[in-house]
Amino acid sequence: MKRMSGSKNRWGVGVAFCLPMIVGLGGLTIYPILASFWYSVTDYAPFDKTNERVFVGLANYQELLSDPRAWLSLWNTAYFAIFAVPLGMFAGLLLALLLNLKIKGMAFYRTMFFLPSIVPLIATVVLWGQLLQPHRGLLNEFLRLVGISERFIPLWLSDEFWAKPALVIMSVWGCGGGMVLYLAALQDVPQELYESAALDGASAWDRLWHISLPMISPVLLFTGVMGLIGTMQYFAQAWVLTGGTGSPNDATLFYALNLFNTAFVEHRLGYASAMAWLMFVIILGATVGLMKMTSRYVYYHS
Amino acid sequence: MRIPIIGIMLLAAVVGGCKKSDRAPAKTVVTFWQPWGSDLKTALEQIVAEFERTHPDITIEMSFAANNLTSNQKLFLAIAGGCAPDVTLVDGQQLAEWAARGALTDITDYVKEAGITGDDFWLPRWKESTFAGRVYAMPWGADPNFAMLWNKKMFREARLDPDRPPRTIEELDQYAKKLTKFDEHGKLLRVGFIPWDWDGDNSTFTWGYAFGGDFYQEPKEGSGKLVGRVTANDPRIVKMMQWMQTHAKMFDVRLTSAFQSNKRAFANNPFIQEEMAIRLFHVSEITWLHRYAPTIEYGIAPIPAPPDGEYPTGWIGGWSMGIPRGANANKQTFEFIRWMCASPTATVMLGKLMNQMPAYRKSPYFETVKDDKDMAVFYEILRNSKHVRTLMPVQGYLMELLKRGANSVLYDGADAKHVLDEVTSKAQERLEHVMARVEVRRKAVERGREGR
Repeated sequence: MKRMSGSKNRWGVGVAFCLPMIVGLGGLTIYPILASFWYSVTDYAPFDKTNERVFVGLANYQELLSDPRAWLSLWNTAYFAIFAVPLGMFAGLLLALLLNLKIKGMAFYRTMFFLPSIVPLIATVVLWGQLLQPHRGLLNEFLRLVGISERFIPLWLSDEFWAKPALVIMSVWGCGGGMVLYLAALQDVPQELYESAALDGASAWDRLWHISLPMISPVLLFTGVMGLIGTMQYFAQAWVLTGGTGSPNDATLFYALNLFNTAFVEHRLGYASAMAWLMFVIILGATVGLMKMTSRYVYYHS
Repeated sequence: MRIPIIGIMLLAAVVGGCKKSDRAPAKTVVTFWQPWGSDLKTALEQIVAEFERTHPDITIEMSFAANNLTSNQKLFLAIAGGCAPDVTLVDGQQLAEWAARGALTDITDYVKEAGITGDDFWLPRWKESTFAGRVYAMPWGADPNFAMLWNKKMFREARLDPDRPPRTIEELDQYAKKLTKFDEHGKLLRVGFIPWDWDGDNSTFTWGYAFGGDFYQEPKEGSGKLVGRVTANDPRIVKMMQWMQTHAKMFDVRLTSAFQSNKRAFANNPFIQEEMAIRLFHVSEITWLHRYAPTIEYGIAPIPAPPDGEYPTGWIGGWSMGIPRGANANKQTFEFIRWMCASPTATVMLGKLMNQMPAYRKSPYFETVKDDKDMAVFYEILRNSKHVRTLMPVQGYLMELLKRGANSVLYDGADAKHVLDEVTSKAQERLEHVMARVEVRRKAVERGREGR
C-alpha cells in the first residue's frame, strides 16, 4: 500500500514537471495543427463574429488545384530549392575541405567563413539589396569592371529572369552553417583510413571520393533534408526585399509568401490553411523521397 | 488534485495574458495603436502630450502596430483575442472592409452628440469614414495624391522651358522621351518619368482618375443595397493602362524599374539622386526632399491629364481614427478621437509637425498654406478632388488585383482590356461573397435583438 501511494505520488510530480511541455506541445503545436486542418475545410475570414467558419468540404483544395498563382509560387519555390540547396551544400563542403587542411591561422579563416551565417537575417537582406542594386550596386560595378557589356549586365531583382538567381547567390553566401557541420564530420574521420589508403597508393581525389564523402554522408543527408525543408518555407528574405509583393511580376512570389498574403492580405484563412496542408504534404513527400533515394549511398559508421 | 490546479493556473496565464489589470487607476487610460517609428512617431508623441496637458484626467498609452495598408496583423489578432486597444489608426481605404467585417465600433451616436457633421471635413475623407450610412471612424489626415515635381536643371539641359510643366499626357510623353538619357554603352543614366512609380495599384488609381475613369459605382442611397458595381474595366481606365504599356515598351520596364529599387529608403530615391526628372510626390515627402536634397531646383504642379480627363485632380487618402470592436467605447475615448481629428490645436500640429494636411476642413492650418509654394499646390488638389480609392469591403483585394494586372500588362505585354475585365469580375465576385456573409451576420444580430 505504502509503495503504491509513493509511486503514485511520484507519477504526479513527474507529470507536474512535464506539464509546461505537455501544455506547450498540446496548446501551441498539436492544437494549431488540428485547427488548421479544420480551417482548411471552411470558408474562414477573420473578425466575422457570428457564422465564423462555414464548412465547405474540399472546395478549398479543389480551388487550389486549379489556382495558377499557387502553381506559379510552387514553381518559384521548386526552382529556388533545386539551385539553392545543392549549391549551398557544394560551397559549404568545398570550404570545409579547404578549412580541414593543416595550415597556419586556420582558426581565423574558419571564423571568417562562418561569420556570414551569424549576421542577422534582415541585415543580410538589406546588405544584399544594396549589393544587387542594378545601377550602383557593387556586384554590377564589378561586372562592368571586368568588361561585361552593358547589354548583358543583369538587372537582378528588377528582372524576372535574374531575380531568383540573385536570391540563390544570396543564400549561398550563408553556407557557413553547413560548413561547420561538414568540418566537424571531416575531423571525425579516423586518420588511419587515410594513412592505409595512402600506403595503397590512393590519390587525394580517391581519398575524398572513397573515404571522406562516404564517412560524412549522414551529415550531407541531414543538411540536404534540412535545406530542402528550409527552402520550401523560404519567406522572410523575399518578404523584405520585395515588400511582400513578390516583384518583379511575381518572379519571387514563393509559396510561403503567397500563403501569407492569402491569409493576411486577402483575409482568406480557410484557403490559406489548405495551402499550408498542401505544402506539408509536399515537404513530407520530398523528404521521404530523398531519404529513399539516398539510402543506398549513406553510410552509418555503426 | 494538485495537477488540475497547476493546469488551471497555466491555462489562466495563457488565456488571461492580455487582460488589463483590474486596479482602478486614478486617471482614465486610453490605449492607442499607431503605425510609425522615427520622426512621425516623435511628432505624434508631441501631439498626444498636448492632449494630455489639456486633459489632465486622461492618459494616453501609445504602442506600435505595423499597418502596411493591406494588413494589420497585430490589431486583427488583438480583436480576435478580445484585447483590442481603445483607439486605432485605420487607413481610409481599409475602413469599409474593417467596418463590414465588424472590426470597428459604430460611433455614429458619439459623433452626433458632439455636434460633428460631415460638413466639418473634406467630403472624400468623410465618405471614407462611413459605411452603409453609419460612422465608424473620424477622418484625421487628408493626403492630396499626388503633386508632380520636376527637376528644372534637367529641363534646361533637355532644352525644355523649366517653368512650364507638361499639362497633357501627350506633352508628358514628349518630355519623358527628351529627358531620358543613356550613355555611350547603353547604360541608362537618367529616366524622364515612370508612370507606375507608385506601384501597379496606387498608380492605376491616380492615372485612372486623371483619365476620367471610375473604379466603383456605389449602390444608390436609400436603395437598401450594400453591394455596388466594380468598374475597373471602365474604357477610360483601359485607355490609361494602354498608355502605361506604351511607356513600358518605349523604355523597357525592367530597365526603368531598376531605377526604383531601393526606393524604400527615401535618400536613395532616384529623384533625390538626380537620376529622374519628373516624379509624383506625396505631401509628406516634401520635407524629405528638403532634408536630403536641399539644392535641387524644382517646380511643382498638379499632374497632367488628357484633354477629356480631369484637371487638376487626384484622389484623397489619409488616416482615420476609430475604436476597434471589443474596446472601451466611452466618453474619454471618443474625446481623444474628437480632439485629434476635429480640434484646431491638434489639426494645426498635424500639419506643422507631421507634414500632412488635416481632414478637418475648418482647421486654421489651411490659412497658412497660401504662403508655402509647395503646400499651396497640394491645397489646390485637395480642394478640387472628389475621389477616394473605392469605398467597398474588398478594396484591399482590388489593390492586389490591380497590382497583378498592371504587372501582366507592363511585363508580359498582356491586353489591357482583357486584364481589367478579369480584375473587375474577380473583385465583383469577392465583393458579393463578402457582403453575403455580412448580411448573414446582420440578420443574426437582429434576431438576437428581437430575442431579448
